[in-house]
Amino acid sequence: MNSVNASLNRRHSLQRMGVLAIGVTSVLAEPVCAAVFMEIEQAQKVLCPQADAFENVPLSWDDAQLATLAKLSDTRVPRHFNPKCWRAVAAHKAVGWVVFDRVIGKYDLIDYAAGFDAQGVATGVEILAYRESHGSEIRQPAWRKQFVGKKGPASMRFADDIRNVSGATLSCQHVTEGMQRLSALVSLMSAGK
Amino acid sequence: MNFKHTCIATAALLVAHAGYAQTNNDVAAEMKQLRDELRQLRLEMQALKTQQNSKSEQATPSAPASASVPAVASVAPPVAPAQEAAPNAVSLFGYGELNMTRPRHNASETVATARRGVLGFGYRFNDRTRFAAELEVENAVVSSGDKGEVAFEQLYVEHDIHEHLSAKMGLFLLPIGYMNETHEPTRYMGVQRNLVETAIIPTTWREMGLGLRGTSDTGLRWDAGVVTSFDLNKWPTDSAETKESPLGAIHQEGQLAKAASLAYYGVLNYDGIPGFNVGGSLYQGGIAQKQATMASPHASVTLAELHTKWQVGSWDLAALAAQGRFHDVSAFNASANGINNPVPDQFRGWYAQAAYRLWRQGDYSLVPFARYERVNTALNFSGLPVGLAPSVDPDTRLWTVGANFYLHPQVVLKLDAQKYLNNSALDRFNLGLGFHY
Repeated sequence: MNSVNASLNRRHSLQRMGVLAIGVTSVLAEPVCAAVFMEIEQAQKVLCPQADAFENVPLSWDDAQLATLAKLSDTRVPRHFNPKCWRAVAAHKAVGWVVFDRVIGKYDLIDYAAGFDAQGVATGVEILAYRESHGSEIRQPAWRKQFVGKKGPASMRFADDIRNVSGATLSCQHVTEGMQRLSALVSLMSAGK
Repeated sequence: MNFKHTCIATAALLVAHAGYAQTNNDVAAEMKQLRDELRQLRLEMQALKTQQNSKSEQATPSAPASASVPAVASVAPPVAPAQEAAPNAVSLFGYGELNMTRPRHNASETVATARRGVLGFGYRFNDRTRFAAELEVENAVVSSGDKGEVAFEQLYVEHDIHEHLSAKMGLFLLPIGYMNETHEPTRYMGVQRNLVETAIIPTTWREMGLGLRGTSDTGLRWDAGVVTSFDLNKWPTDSAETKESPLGAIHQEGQLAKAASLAYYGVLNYDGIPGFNVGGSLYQGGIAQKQATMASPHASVTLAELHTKWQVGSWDLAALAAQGRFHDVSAFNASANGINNPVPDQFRGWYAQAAYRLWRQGDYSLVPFARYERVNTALNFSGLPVGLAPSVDPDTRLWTVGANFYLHPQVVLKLDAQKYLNNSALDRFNLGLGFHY
C-alpha cells in the first residue's frame, strides 16, 4: 500500500512539475513575431557578406523562358513563380547573386532566399518566413547547409543530394526544387541568356 | 464730359498700372519663394537618396553594371518582396486512401473500401496565429446502417510565442511515434498502417488540450503538453476490440471527453543530421475520470516510445518500439467479474523496416520495402484470482513485404503481402491507392 502511495505521489509530483514547466516556459517566452524570421536585407548580407551593394535585377518571364527553366531544373515551375534577384557587387565588380523566392510547403508559402557566387555555386539558403504548423525543421542550419558548395540543379536532387528531415518531407522537397530552379536561373543569367 | 471721361480713364490707368506694379512684385516674391522651396526639396531628396543608398538596397549608382550579367528579361519594374500581395490566408489540403484486402486463404472475405477521405482546411489570422482542421470520412458512407465514420481528426489554433516556441490549443494529434502526426498514405510503406502504431500507439491519436513545441538550431525539437486522457469507464466487454488496441478501445477523441483526469506528455527529437532522426516520448495520464462507479479511482496509463529513422543512399531505414502500462487497475479487474478481457498490465510492440528506392525517373519512383513487427496487446493481468486470469497470447509476429509505386511524390499505388507467423489465417494481400494535396 505504501509503495502504491509512493508511486502515486511520484506521478503527481511529475505531473505538477510538467505543468509548472509549461507555464513558466510560456511566460518567459519572448513575445516576438515568429513567422517572419529575417528580412531580405539581412539575408543579402548573410548570403553574400563580401558585397558592398546589391543591385536589383528586374525579371519577367515568357512561356519559352519558363519552359527553359523547367527543363534545366527538371522541376515544374509553379504558377506563382516570381523570384526577385539582386546582383551582389563589391568594388564595382559583380561577385554573386541573391535570389528571393516563395514555394508552398505543405499548404502555405515559405519565403526563402538563396545566395550564389559569381560562378553559380550556392553560398547558402535562408528561410525568411515559415507559416505552417509542421515542417519548420527546414530552418535548421544542418539541413540548409546541404546546399552550400553545390552548383547547378543536377547537384541538388531531393533525397539523393539533399536529405530529408523527418516530419518535414514536403517542405524539404519543395524548397529543394525551388533551389534547383534558382540555381538554373542564376546559370541562365550568368550565361546572359 | 470728354474731359471727365479722360480723367476717369487716366485715373483708371494709373490705378491699373499701380496694381500691375503691385502684382509684378508679388509674383516676383512668390517666384523667389518657389525657388527657395524647390531648392529645399532638392536638398531633401538628395538627403533621402543618400539615406536610402546607405540602407537596404545599398544601390551604388556609380557602380557600373557588369556587361556579363544581364537580366533574363528587363520589362517588369523591380518589386520588393514586401510590396507583394500577402499570401492567401485560407488553405485547403487533405488526403485520401482507397484499398482492397484479400485474405490469402479466404477469398470470400475480400473487401474494397474508400478507407479514408480527409479534407483539411486552415486559416492564417496573422503571421503568428493560425487555425487548422482535418475532417475525415472513413469507409465512404456514414449512416445508421453503415460502418462509416465522420470525425474531426484535428481542430486547433496554433500561436507562435517565439521564433523557436509555438503553442497549440484545441483538438490535435499527439506528436508520438512517426505515424500519428504524419499519416498521409504517401508517407508510409504498405497499404495498411503498421501494426505497432495502430495497436500500441492508437493512430490517429488526438486529444484536447494545450501543447507546446520548441525547436533549436542544433536540431533538437521538444514537445510537451497537458491534454485530455483515456476513459477506463469505456472499457468494452468485447475482447476483440481491446486486443486490437487497448488504448484505441478507450480513447475519447474530443467527443464529450471526460476531463476530470488529465494527461501529460513530453517528446524529444533530434534532427541535427540531415536524413537521420532519433527520438522518444513519454505519455502519462489518469484514466479513472473521477467516476463514482469506478473501482480503481487512481487508474492511469503510461506509454513510452523510442524511434529512429535513417536515410542513407537509396535506403530508408526505420525502427520504433513502444510499451504501455496500465497502473492500479487490479480493483477494476476484480470488480469486472466474468469479462474475458480484463485490463492488461502491459502492452508493447516494435518494428523494423527497410525500404529501397529501386528506380526513379522524373516524378515516378518505385520503392520496395520489407517490415517485421512484433506486437502483444495484453501481457499479464492483475487483480484476478489465480487460475481465473486469461492466458497470455504469444506475440503477434508479422512480415509485410511489398512496394510503393509513386506516380508523383504525392500519389502512390501500393501492393503488399502480409504474413502472420503464428496465425496464417490472417495472411492477406493488399492493394491500395493513396494521395495527398
